[in-house]
Amino acid sequence: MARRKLQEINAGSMADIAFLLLIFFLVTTTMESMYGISRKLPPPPDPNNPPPEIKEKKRNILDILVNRNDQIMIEDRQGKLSEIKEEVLKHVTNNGKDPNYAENPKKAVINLTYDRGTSYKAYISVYNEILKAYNEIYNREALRRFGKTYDELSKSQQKEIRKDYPQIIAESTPETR
Amino acid sequence: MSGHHKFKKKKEGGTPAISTASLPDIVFMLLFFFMVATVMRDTDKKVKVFLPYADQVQKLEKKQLVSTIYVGVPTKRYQKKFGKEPVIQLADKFATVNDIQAFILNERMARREELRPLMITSIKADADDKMGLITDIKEKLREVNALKINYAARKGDVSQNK
Repeated sequence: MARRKLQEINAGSMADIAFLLLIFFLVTTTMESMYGISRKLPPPPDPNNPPPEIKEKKRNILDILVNRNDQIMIEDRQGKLSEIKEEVLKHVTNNGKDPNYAENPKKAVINLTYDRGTSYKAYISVYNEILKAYNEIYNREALRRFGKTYDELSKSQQKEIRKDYPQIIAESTPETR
Repeated sequence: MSGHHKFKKKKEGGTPAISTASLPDIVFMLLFFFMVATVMRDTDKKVKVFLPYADQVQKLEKKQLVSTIYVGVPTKRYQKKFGKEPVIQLADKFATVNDIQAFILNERMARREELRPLMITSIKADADDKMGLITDIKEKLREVNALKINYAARKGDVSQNK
Protein backbone atom coordinates (compact mmCIF):
# COMPACT_ATOMS: atom_id res chain seq x y z
CA MET A 1 0.00 0.00 0.00
CA ALA A 2 1.28 3.34 -0.90
CA ARG A 3 1.36 5.56 2.12
CA ARG A 4 0.22 9.06 1.57
CA LYS A 5 2.86 11.62 2.18
CA LEU A 6 2.28 13.56 5.39
CA GLN A 7 1.02 16.92 4.39
CA GLU A 8 2.54 19.93 6.01
CA ILE A 9 0.11 22.15 7.87
CA ASN A 10 -0.21 25.50 6.28
CA ALA A 11 1.07 28.02 8.77
CA GLY A 12 0.25 31.02 6.66
CA SER A 13 -2.77 31.95 8.73
CA MET A 14 -0.90 31.67 12.01
CA ALA A 15 0.03 35.34 11.91
CA ASP A 16 -3.59 36.32 11.38
CA ILE A 17 -4.75 34.26 14.30
CA ALA A 18 -2.07 35.70 16.53
CA PHE A 19 -2.95 39.21 15.43
CA LEU A 20 -6.55 38.58 16.25
CA LEU A 21 -5.64 37.44 19.75
CA LEU A 22 -3.29 40.36 20.16
CA ILE A 23 -5.97 42.86 19.25
CA PHE A 24 -8.40 41.15 21.60
CA PHE A 25 -5.97 41.57 24.48
CA LEU A 26 -5.19 45.14 23.53
CA VAL A 27 -8.86 46.02 23.72
CA THR A 28 -9.94 44.12 26.81
CA THR A 29 -7.05 44.83 29.13
CA THR A 30 -5.64 47.89 30.77
CA MET A 31 -2.16 48.71 31.85
CA GLU A 32 -3.01 51.63 34.12
CA SER A 33 -1.32 51.37 37.45
CA MET A 34 -3.27 52.44 40.46
CA TYR A 35 -1.94 55.15 42.69
CA GLY A 36 -3.51 56.58 45.76
CA ILE A 37 -3.28 57.67 49.34
CA SER A 38 -3.50 54.61 51.58
CA ARG A 39 -5.09 55.06 54.97
CA LYS A 40 -6.48 52.98 57.75
CA LEU A 41 -9.86 53.92 59.14
CA PRO A 42 -10.41 53.82 62.89
CA PRO A 43 -12.23 50.65 64.00
CA PRO A 44 -16.00 50.92 64.43
CA PRO A 45 -17.12 52.31 67.77
CA ASP A 46 -18.11 49.65 70.25
CA PRO A 47 -21.53 50.54 71.74
CA ASN A 48 -20.83 48.71 75.01
CA ASN A 49 -17.42 50.16 75.35
CA PRO A 50 -17.29 53.75 74.14
CA PRO A 51 -13.80 55.14 73.66
CA PRO A 52 -12.67 57.34 76.52
CA GLU A 53 -12.97 61.01 75.88
CA ILE A 54 -9.47 62.13 75.15
CA LYS A 55 -8.64 65.22 77.08
CA GLU A 56 -5.63 66.51 75.29
CA LYS A 57 -4.09 69.81 76.10
CA LYS A 58 -4.97 72.53 73.66
CA ARG A 59 -1.36 73.00 72.66
CA ASN A 60 -1.10 69.38 71.48
CA ILE A 61 -3.92 69.74 69.00
CA LEU A 62 -3.46 71.42 65.66
CA ASP A 63 -6.88 72.34 64.31
CA ILE A 64 -7.30 72.42 60.58
CA LEU A 65 -10.73 73.26 59.28
CA VAL A 66 -11.95 73.19 55.69
CA ASN A 67 -15.35 74.78 55.19
CA ARG A 68 -17.93 74.19 52.48
CA ASN A 69 -16.34 76.80 50.28
CA ASP A 70 -13.02 74.97 50.57
CA GLN A 71 -11.53 77.78 52.63
CA ILE A 72 -8.96 76.70 55.15
CA MET A 73 -8.55 77.68 58.80
CA ILE A 74 -5.42 76.73 60.68
CA GLU A 75 -5.92 77.05 64.43
CA ASP A 76 -7.97 80.25 64.59
CA ARG A 77 -6.86 82.12 61.55
CA GLN A 78 -7.50 81.81 57.87
CA GLY A 79 -4.75 79.89 56.15
CA LYS A 80 -3.60 78.70 52.78
CA LEU A 81 -3.06 75.18 51.53
CA SER A 82 0.64 75.86 51.10
CA GLU A 83 1.00 76.75 54.79
CA ILE A 84 -0.28 73.45 56.10
CA LYS A 85 2.92 71.51 55.60
CA GLU A 86 5.00 74.04 57.54
CA GLU A 87 2.44 74.23 60.32
CA VAL A 88 2.32 70.46 60.72
CA LEU A 89 6.11 70.25 60.66
CA LYS A 90 6.38 72.91 63.30
CA HIS A 91 3.68 71.31 65.39
CA VAL A 92 5.05 67.77 65.33
CA THR A 93 8.72 68.59 65.71
CA ASN A 94 8.20 71.32 68.28
CA ASN A 95 9.22 69.21 71.27
CA GLY A 96 7.91 71.72 73.76
CA LYS A 97 9.84 74.75 72.58
CA ASP A 98 6.95 76.94 71.46
CA PRO A 99 4.09 76.93 74.01
CA ASN A 100 1.51 77.05 71.20
CA TYR A 101 2.65 73.81 69.59
CA ALA A 102 2.88 70.21 70.73
CA GLU A 103 4.87 69.01 73.70
CA ASN A 104 6.30 66.06 71.81
CA PRO A 105 5.70 64.19 68.54
CA LYS A 106 3.87 61.33 70.22
CA LYS A 107 1.28 63.69 71.64
CA ALA A 108 0.86 65.80 68.52
CA VAL A 109 -2.66 65.47 67.17
CA ILE A 110 -3.90 66.88 63.89
CA ASN A 111 -7.59 67.58 64.13
CA LEU A 112 -9.02 67.82 60.63
CA THR A 113 -12.57 69.10 60.43
CA TYR A 114 -14.53 69.48 57.23
CA ASP A 115 -18.05 70.12 56.15
CA ARG A 116 -20.32 67.74 54.25
CA GLY A 117 -20.16 70.30 51.48
CA THR A 118 -16.37 70.42 51.32
CA SER A 119 -15.14 69.18 47.97
CA TYR A 120 -13.24 65.93 47.75
CA LYS A 121 -10.29 67.56 46.02
CA ALA A 122 -9.91 70.07 48.87
CA TYR A 123 -9.94 67.22 51.35
CA ILE A 124 -7.36 65.24 49.37
CA SER A 125 -5.21 68.34 48.97
CA VAL A 126 -5.19 69.07 52.70
CA TYR A 127 -4.59 65.43 53.56
CA ASN A 128 -1.79 65.29 51.05
CA GLU A 129 -0.09 68.27 52.65
CA ILE A 130 -0.34 66.74 56.12
CA LEU A 131 1.19 63.51 54.84
CA LYS A 132 3.87 65.49 53.05
CA ALA A 133 4.94 66.98 56.36
CA TYR A 134 5.09 63.55 57.99
CA ASN A 135 6.99 62.06 55.08
CA GLU A 136 9.49 64.87 55.33
CA ILE A 137 9.95 64.15 59.04
CA TYR A 138 10.40 60.44 58.28
CA ASN A 139 13.04 61.18 55.70
CA ARG A 140 14.82 63.58 58.00
CA GLU A 141 14.86 61.02 60.80
CA ALA A 142 15.96 58.25 58.45
CA LEU A 143 18.92 60.33 57.31
CA ARG A 144 19.82 61.31 60.84
CA ARG A 145 19.60 57.83 62.32
CA PHE A 146 20.63 55.56 59.48
CA GLY A 147 22.07 57.85 56.82
CA LYS A 148 19.59 56.64 54.24
CA THR A 149 16.30 57.86 52.84
CA TYR A 150 13.16 56.47 54.40
CA ASP A 151 12.34 54.33 51.36
CA GLU A 152 15.71 52.58 51.57
CA LEU A 153 15.24 51.49 55.17
CA SER A 154 14.19 48.02 56.21
CA LYS A 155 10.65 47.41 57.42
CA SER A 156 11.69 47.33 61.08
CA GLN A 157 13.70 50.53 60.79
CA GLN A 158 10.72 52.24 59.19
CA LYS A 159 8.52 50.97 61.98
CA GLU A 160 10.92 52.37 64.56
CA ILE A 161 10.64 55.83 63.07
CA ARG A 162 6.90 55.61 62.64
CA LYS A 163 6.55 54.65 66.29
CA ASP A 164 8.30 57.83 67.38
CA TYR A 165 6.24 59.95 65.02
CA PRO A 166 2.78 58.40 64.98
CA GLN A 167 0.38 60.03 62.59
CA ILE A 168 -2.52 60.94 64.81
CA ILE A 169 -4.99 62.50 62.45
CA ALA A 170 -8.50 62.87 63.80
CA GLU A 171 -11.24 63.60 61.31
CA SER A 172 -14.68 64.91 62.02
CA THR A 173 -17.63 66.37 60.22
CA PRO A 174 -20.11 68.54 62.02
CA GLU A 175 -23.60 67.20 61.40
CA THR A 176 -24.92 70.00 59.29
CA ARG A 177 -26.91 69.16 56.25
CA MET B 1 34.22 27.70 -17.33
CA SER B 2 31.65 25.50 -15.83
CA GLY B 3 32.39 26.46 -12.21
CA HIS B 4 31.52 30.10 -12.71
CA HIS B 5 27.84 29.97 -13.37
CA LYS B 6 27.24 28.50 -9.96
CA PHE B 7 27.83 31.88 -8.40
CA LYS B 8 26.06 33.90 -10.99
CA LYS B 9 23.28 35.91 -9.48
CA LYS B 10 19.78 35.58 -10.72
CA LYS B 11 19.01 38.51 -12.86
CA GLU B 12 15.26 38.14 -13.07
CA GLY B 13 12.76 39.67 -10.57
CA GLY B 14 13.79 42.89 -8.79
CA THR B 15 13.65 42.70 -4.99
CA PRO B 16 12.83 39.33 -3.50
CA ALA B 17 9.69 39.13 -1.38
CA ILE B 18 10.34 39.59 2.34
CA SER B 19 9.90 36.36 4.17
CA THR B 20 6.93 36.48 6.51
CA ALA B 21 7.77 33.19 8.12
CA SER B 22 8.84 34.88 11.37
CA LEU B 23 5.81 37.13 11.54
CA PRO B 24 3.75 34.74 13.68
CA ASP B 25 6.61 34.52 16.13
CA ILE B 26 6.88 38.27 16.42
CA VAL B 27 3.16 38.68 16.88
CA PHE B 28 3.04 35.90 19.45
CA MET B 29 5.82 37.59 21.33
CA LEU B 30 3.81 40.82 21.43
CA LEU B 31 0.76 38.85 22.43
CA PHE B 32 2.54 37.25 25.37
CA PHE B 33 3.89 40.60 26.43
CA PHE B 34 0.41 42.07 26.58
CA MET B 35 -1.02 39.03 28.31
CA VAL B 36 1.58 39.30 31.06
CA ALA B 37 1.85 43.07 31.44
CA THR B 38 -1.81 43.99 31.48
CA VAL B 39 -4.85 43.14 33.51
CA MET B 40 -8.41 42.61 32.40
CA ARG B 41 -10.59 45.67 32.41
CA ASP B 42 -12.89 44.77 35.25
CA THR B 43 -15.81 47.10 35.04
CA ASP B 44 -17.00 49.69 32.65
CA LYS B 45 -17.43 53.00 34.29
CA LYS B 46 -20.90 54.42 34.34
CA VAL B 47 -19.94 57.48 36.33
CA LYS B 48 -17.56 60.24 35.42
CA VAL B 49 -14.47 60.07 37.59
CA PHE B 50 -11.73 62.63 37.27
CA LEU B 51 -9.35 61.79 40.09
CA PRO B 52 -7.84 64.57 42.20
CA TYR B 53 -4.11 65.17 42.11
CA ALA B 54 -1.82 64.21 44.99
CA ASP B 55 1.89 63.54 45.30
CA GLN B 56 2.14 61.57 48.53
CA VAL B 57 0.78 58.50 46.77
CA GLN B 58 1.68 54.85 46.84
CA LYS B 59 1.27 52.31 44.12
CA LEU B 60 -1.33 49.63 44.69
CA GLU B 61 0.49 46.42 43.85
CA LYS B 62 -1.86 43.54 44.53
CA LYS B 63 -4.79 44.20 42.28
CA GLN B 64 -6.58 41.02 43.27
CA LEU B 65 -6.95 42.40 46.79
CA VAL B 66 -8.59 45.61 45.71
CA SER B 67 -12.32 46.27 45.57
CA THR B 68 -13.27 49.53 43.98
CA ILE B 69 -16.02 51.98 44.81
CA TYR B 70 -16.63 54.57 42.13
CA VAL B 71 -18.22 57.87 43.07
CA GLY B 72 -19.20 60.44 40.52
CA VAL B 73 -21.85 61.99 38.33
CA PRO B 74 -23.51 59.47 35.98
CA THR B 75 -22.26 59.68 32.43
CA LYS B 76 -24.48 61.33 29.81
CA ARG B 77 -26.46 58.29 28.78
CA TYR B 78 -27.41 57.45 32.36
CA GLN B 79 -28.26 60.96 33.47
CA LYS B 80 -31.92 60.75 32.48
CA LYS B 81 -32.48 57.82 34.77
CA PHE B 82 -30.05 58.52 37.58
CA GLY B 83 -29.81 62.29 37.63
CA LYS B 84 -26.86 64.63 37.68
CA GLU B 85 -25.87 64.30 41.30
CA PRO B 86 -22.87 62.17 42.31
CA VAL B 87 -23.78 58.53 42.84
CA ILE B 88 -21.98 55.34 43.79
CA GLN B 89 -21.11 52.59 41.36
CA LEU B 90 -20.31 49.15 42.72
CA ALA B 91 -19.04 46.55 40.24
CA ASP B 92 -21.23 47.25 37.21
CA LYS B 93 -24.24 48.69 38.96
CA PHE B 94 -25.44 51.97 40.34
CA ALA B 95 -25.89 51.73 44.07
CA THR B 96 -26.54 53.68 47.25
CA VAL B 97 -24.52 53.84 50.45
CA ASN B 98 -26.74 51.11 51.88
CA ASP B 99 -25.48 48.62 49.28
CA ILE B 100 -21.85 49.06 50.25
CA GLN B 101 -21.78 46.60 53.10
CA ALA B 102 -23.32 43.79 51.05
CA PHE B 103 -20.82 44.56 48.31
CA ILE B 104 -17.86 44.37 50.67
CA LEU B 105 -19.09 41.11 52.21
CA ASN B 106 -19.50 39.69 48.71
CA GLU B 107 -16.01 40.74 47.77
CA ARG B 108 -14.72 39.11 50.91
CA MET B 109 -16.44 35.83 50.17
CA ALA B 110 -14.91 35.80 46.72
CA ARG B 111 -11.40 35.66 48.15
CA ARG B 112 -9.47 32.98 49.94
CA GLU B 113 -9.63 33.23 53.69
CA GLU B 114 -5.98 34.14 54.24
CA LEU B 115 -6.28 37.05 51.84
CA ARG B 116 -9.32 38.60 53.46
CA PRO B 117 -7.54 40.65 56.13
CA LEU B 118 -5.31 42.15 53.45
CA MET B 119 -8.13 43.47 51.31
CA ILE B 120 -8.13 47.12 50.37
CA THR B 121 -11.07 49.24 49.34
CA SER B 122 -10.14 51.76 46.73
CA ILE B 123 -12.31 54.85 46.62
CA LYS B 124 -12.23 56.28 43.15
CA ALA B 125 -14.07 59.52 43.57
CA ASP B 126 -14.35 62.49 41.27
CA ALA B 127 -12.41 65.56 42.39
CA ASP B 128 -15.61 67.62 42.50
CA ASP B 129 -17.60 65.27 44.72
CA LYS B 130 -18.67 66.52 48.11
CA MET B 131 -17.27 65.06 51.31
CA GLY B 132 -20.74 64.26 52.68
CA LEU B 133 -21.10 61.24 50.42
CA ILE B 134 -17.49 60.17 50.95
CA THR B 135 -17.92 60.37 54.73
CA ASP B 136 -21.04 58.22 54.53
CA ILE B 137 -19.11 55.63 52.53
CA LYS B 138 -16.29 55.64 55.05
CA GLU B 139 -18.74 55.16 57.92
CA LYS B 140 -20.28 52.16 56.17
CA LEU B 141 -16.84 50.67 55.56
CA ARG B 142 -15.93 51.12 59.20
CA GLU B 143 -19.05 49.26 60.29
CA VAL B 144 -18.05 46.15 58.32
CA ASN B 145 -14.45 46.43 59.41
CA ALA B 146 -13.13 47.19 55.95
CA LEU B 147 -10.60 49.58 57.37
CA LYS B 148 -7.90 49.60 54.76
CA ILE B 149 -8.80 52.20 52.23
CA ASN B 150 -7.07 53.94 49.41
CA TYR B 151 -8.09 57.28 47.98
CA ALA B 152 -7.25 56.90 44.32
CA ALA B 153 -5.39 59.89 43.00
CA ARG B 154 -3.49 61.08 40.00
CA LYS B 155 0.21 61.71 40.48
CA GLY B 156 0.70 65.44 40.48
CA ASP B 157 0.96 68.55 42.57
CA VAL B 158 -2.08 69.48 44.65
CA SER B 159 -2.06 72.97 43.17
CA GLN B 160 -3.55 71.34 40.06
CA ASN B 161 -6.73 70.60 42.00
CA LYS B 162 -8.60 73.57 40.71
